[in-house]
Amino acid sequence: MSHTIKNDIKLRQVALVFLALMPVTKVLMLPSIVADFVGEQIWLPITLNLLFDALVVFLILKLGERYPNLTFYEIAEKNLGKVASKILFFFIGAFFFLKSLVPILEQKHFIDNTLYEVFPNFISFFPLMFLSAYACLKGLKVLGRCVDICVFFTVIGLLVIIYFSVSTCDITNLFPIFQKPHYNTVKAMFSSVIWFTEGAYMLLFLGKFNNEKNGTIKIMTCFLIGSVFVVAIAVIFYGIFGPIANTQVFAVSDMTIYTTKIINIGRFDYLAIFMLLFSKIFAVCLPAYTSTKFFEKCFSLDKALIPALIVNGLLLVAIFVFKDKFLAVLDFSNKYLNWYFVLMGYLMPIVFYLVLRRRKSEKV
Amino acid sequence: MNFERNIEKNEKILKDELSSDDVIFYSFSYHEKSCFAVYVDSMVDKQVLGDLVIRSILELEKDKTIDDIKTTLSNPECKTQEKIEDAVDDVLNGCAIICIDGEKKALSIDLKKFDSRAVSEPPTSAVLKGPREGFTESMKTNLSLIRRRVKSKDLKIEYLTCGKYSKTQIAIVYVDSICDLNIVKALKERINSLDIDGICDSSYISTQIVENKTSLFKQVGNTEKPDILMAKMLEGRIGILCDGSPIALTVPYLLIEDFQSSDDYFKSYYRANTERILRLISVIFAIYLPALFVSAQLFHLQIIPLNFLLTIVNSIKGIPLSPSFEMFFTLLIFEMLNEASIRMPKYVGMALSIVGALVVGDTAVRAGIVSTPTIMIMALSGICIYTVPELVDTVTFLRLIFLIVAGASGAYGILLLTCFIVIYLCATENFNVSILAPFAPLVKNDLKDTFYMTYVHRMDKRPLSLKPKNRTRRKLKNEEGK
Amino acid sequence: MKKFKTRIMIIVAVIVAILYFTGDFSLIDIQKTAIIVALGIDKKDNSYEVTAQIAIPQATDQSSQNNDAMVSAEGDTVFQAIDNIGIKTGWQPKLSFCDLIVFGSGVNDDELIALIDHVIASQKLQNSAQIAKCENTAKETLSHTTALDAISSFAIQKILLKNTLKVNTVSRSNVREFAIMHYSPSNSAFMPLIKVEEGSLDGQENSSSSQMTASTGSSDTPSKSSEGEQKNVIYDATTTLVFSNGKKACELEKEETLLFNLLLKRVDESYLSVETPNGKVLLSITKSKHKITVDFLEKPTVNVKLDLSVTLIDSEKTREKDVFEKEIVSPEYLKLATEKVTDDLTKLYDKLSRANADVLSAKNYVYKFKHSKYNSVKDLALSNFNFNPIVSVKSLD
Repeated sequence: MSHTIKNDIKLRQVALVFLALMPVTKVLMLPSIVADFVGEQIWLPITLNLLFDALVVFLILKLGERYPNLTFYEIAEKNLGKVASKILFFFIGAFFFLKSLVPILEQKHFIDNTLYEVFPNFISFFPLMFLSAYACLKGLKVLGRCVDICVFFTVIGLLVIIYFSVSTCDITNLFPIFQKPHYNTVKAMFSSVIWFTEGAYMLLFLGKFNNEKNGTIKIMTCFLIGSVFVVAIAVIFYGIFGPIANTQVFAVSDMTIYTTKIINIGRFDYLAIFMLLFSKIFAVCLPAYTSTKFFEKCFSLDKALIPALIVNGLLLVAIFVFKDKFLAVLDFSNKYLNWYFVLMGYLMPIVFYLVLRRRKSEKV
Repeated sequence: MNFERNIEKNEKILKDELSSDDVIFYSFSYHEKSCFAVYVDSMVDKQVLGDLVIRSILELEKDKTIDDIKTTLSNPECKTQEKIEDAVDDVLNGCAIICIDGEKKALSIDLKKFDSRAVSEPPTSAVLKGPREGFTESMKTNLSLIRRRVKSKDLKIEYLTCGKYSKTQIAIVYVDSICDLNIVKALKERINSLDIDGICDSSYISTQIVENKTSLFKQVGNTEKPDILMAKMLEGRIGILCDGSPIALTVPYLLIEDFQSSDDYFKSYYRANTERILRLISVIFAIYLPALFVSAQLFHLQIIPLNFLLTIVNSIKGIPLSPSFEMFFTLLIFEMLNEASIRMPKYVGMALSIVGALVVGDTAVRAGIVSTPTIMIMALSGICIYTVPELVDTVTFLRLIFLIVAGASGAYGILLLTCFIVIYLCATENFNVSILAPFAPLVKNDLKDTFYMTYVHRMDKRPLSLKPKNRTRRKLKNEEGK
Repeated sequence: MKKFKTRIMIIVAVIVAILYFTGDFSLIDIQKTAIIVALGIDKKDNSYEVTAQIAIPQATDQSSQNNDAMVSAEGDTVFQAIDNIGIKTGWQPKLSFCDLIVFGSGVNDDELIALIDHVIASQKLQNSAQIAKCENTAKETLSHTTALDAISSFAIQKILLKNTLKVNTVSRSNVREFAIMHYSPSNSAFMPLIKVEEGSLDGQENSSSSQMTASTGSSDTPSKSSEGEQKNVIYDATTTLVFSNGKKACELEKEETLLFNLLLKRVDESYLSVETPNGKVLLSITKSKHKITVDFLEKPTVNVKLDLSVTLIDSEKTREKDVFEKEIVSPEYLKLATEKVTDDLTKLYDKLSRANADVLSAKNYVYKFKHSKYNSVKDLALSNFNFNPIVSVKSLD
């Protein structure tokens, strides 16, 4: 059953999600964590993970071309049946719930350590969940418009950070190339997978936007630019810190302080950091919204209010419980959750596409 | 209820309906037939009534009917009324009603004459270059100002009446070949659905025709100048004029239009762009400066450069109030001064200025109640508010909200509030047009006339955000002159 | 629903207003914050003595300079000692503005490395803080008054930070740079050694700008010192301490430091004094380019290529007017300069190789660009490397 596209979100906004929201989640703790595994080869696991993401985006777009005007929910119901698709939606909803949890805790960890010294920052994060719930209720159209605004902040913020840090960067710190064992690269990719898997957002957008001429190229181009930013920040980060990169927990605030301008005038690079934090707040709202939507479909609810309150309420409880235990959460995630991310973020969309492509070919 | 042939009955009914001392009943005879004229003393031109209307009737031959008299009178605004209610409305609208014994109709002649303000420069929209005419409270004058500027047959004016008691005339003005007629239709429906006692000003309508009536941000544009209204209509907007109000409304509204000034298009491109960016920076300063200053002092000392921090600490030594309370107190004083300066009589203006400047600016600092940086921040913020006069209300309130949030939760709180406002604005639409357009949704072509303004001769397309029927407003000639 | 929304909004507004007006969450008043601009770390028996130099603005009038307070406290660890400073003074120490860390002579090499590690891992102290060791105790060093600035640490920072591209007889190092060099394959690092000399500014090269006095006061007048000695001193940081494998390896004197800086950093302007048959001439080094590579021939060879562009600026004996005006250096002087630089370079390398201090990052080079050979040189002492200086001194035409 096809539905008329309501044009909830524009193709341009879908593309800008990968430029405005994707990079900001990867410039905080990811570079130091990856550097711990692979040192100067920091760009490699990040690039490979991004390639996987790009593949997922591409395949889901292709799936959309094969099933024009259908949302992912409709495609899944059509092919898997109602029960199986609802189970799938539940797992996808849980995946996006976890996907929103880690950036929130990371952001909290960052703000605790960098911005505030003496403050019960819980008071700041309580409103974040209200904001997230509010965003979930407003819908995809509004989130799409917010992305249009975020792109300015993200690009300017990243460019400013790059500008202030590039003079301190010693690019030779990234040599030698390809000398680390492959096992380290794979381990780095696996340990950092919770920061990736943005390609899965296409499951939400599928069927919600009018496909235009060269739409796939536009989306992939924005993804590429976003990826370039991510890799550039990681490379510059390692160029600045070299062998001590794994101790510099918050890349984006640690990179810029060595230029003469910052030393002499003061930390006005915080403006750029605030710009990135602004976009990151929306980057946190998007997976929460996606989770809400999938739970809504799973439980066949008409309104988003209940799942939005539940998802955001659970996130709030999680912040309470894990407020000073981000590193413990990371450890736990490494042991038990990363597989789930690989499965739902990479394997599931790829397998879905391959199976459905085969089915469609058989039907033909 | 219809008029009857018996004039006494008609007179009695009309006297019951219009029992007011300023409603005059003037009796006269037309060839032994009793007649009377009813009019409101302060609204009708009695000279014209007497000389041109009643005298003309008296000079007519015998046994002429109301319809005959209507065709004979040289007044173009003459009609007949069968219903007493319509006749009563006409009287209250400045018409004179003439009843003749034996006739089932009455004659209604528009003889409005009342004092209204002359066309002058509006005080809220002063410009250095460009036209200086402004709307007045008279609908006719306002419409004439528009008609003089848009001499196209596509300019359409539709009248509506609104207000149970005021029966205010409202005119919807639009260019038929440009604007989206669905918006006109929706607008008319919303105005017609208004069930209100009276319309004192166009702002009564503006609050009623919007979708979100409790929004902090305005959702209807306004202007007091006909040239601005013309420019907006030629972009695809619809104007709403209200009798008795000099402020014309425009829909759909975009937030960016408050940052545009009419003289941006008359002055140098470079100057215009500088001023636009200055306005944006000013609004940002107005809203964020006090909040950032307070949050930096309370939570984020590391953001402040060391030299500046030492200066601040130097100046706040001994100040008894906390930074948040000090800023709040200073802003409160500023708002009080502001309010007093609007309401005060002119002859105490000088005294109040001195009190304000000395007490707040100097004495309070010397007494150690407030610090100099706080006064400076507050003053700068206060000045910046008025660079965009249309947004004064919103910015003033936002400034206070941001200050309170900053003092409660620091820079992250400011960020969250900013995000909230962005989501709120992105969700605010009127007549299916987002007020944040052309930023959200992003409309590339419309970005030519936002915070950056391209050359006027390159603005060849109307803003797509307003969904105009005809997008081209200017055709650029190529080298061959085509 | 609307009533519920309104009630929620009222409750939220009240809570936020209460938070705003009471600030009741252990906020530290800015006036009770100790803005620490420098830290001096000394080792006393089994504990650390930390001396914090706190910038205190004067409250009296606008023209007065900022002053400082020196507060010391002890603790088992440095951060414990810093906390004790807070307890002692009642001020909350704020370390984000600490731009200088001075290690006293009592801090041994292992402790120094451990402290650097601690600072790297901590978010409280900036990694851009300059580090230096001093001849005496850090407390004593920071307690002096100096004519350069009312606050001694600002005076030290002026010497370390300003004119590093000019003159260049100071090898500045911050926490990040030190740690990177220490943890690199070369496992060597350096930092300046601060010496205190009594006297005035006569005959000394010093920066003329006042860096950090926050008000309009000049920096010439020596202000009071809250503790320690009252006499004016000047700081000298032209000696460089070189570390290898976490231990102090050698000290470089002023001339060696200049040459060392030419090899490591781009220099905008420096000076070179050359003995000629006509007496001493002073050449200004206006441009310098360096390249350090390692070749593997019979033995690993460190090639140090140094290209200098010079102009003539002074001579003991009077020269023709046009020579000075054109600033052309004669080929004879260039040859002598080349020989001098080559000679000095060789001596410097000898000193470093004897101390096995690979601050020229030869092993780093091998690790990065000739990785296949790295294992063979990883544990090789620097003295087993050949040295090949290639110096070129040209006149700037």
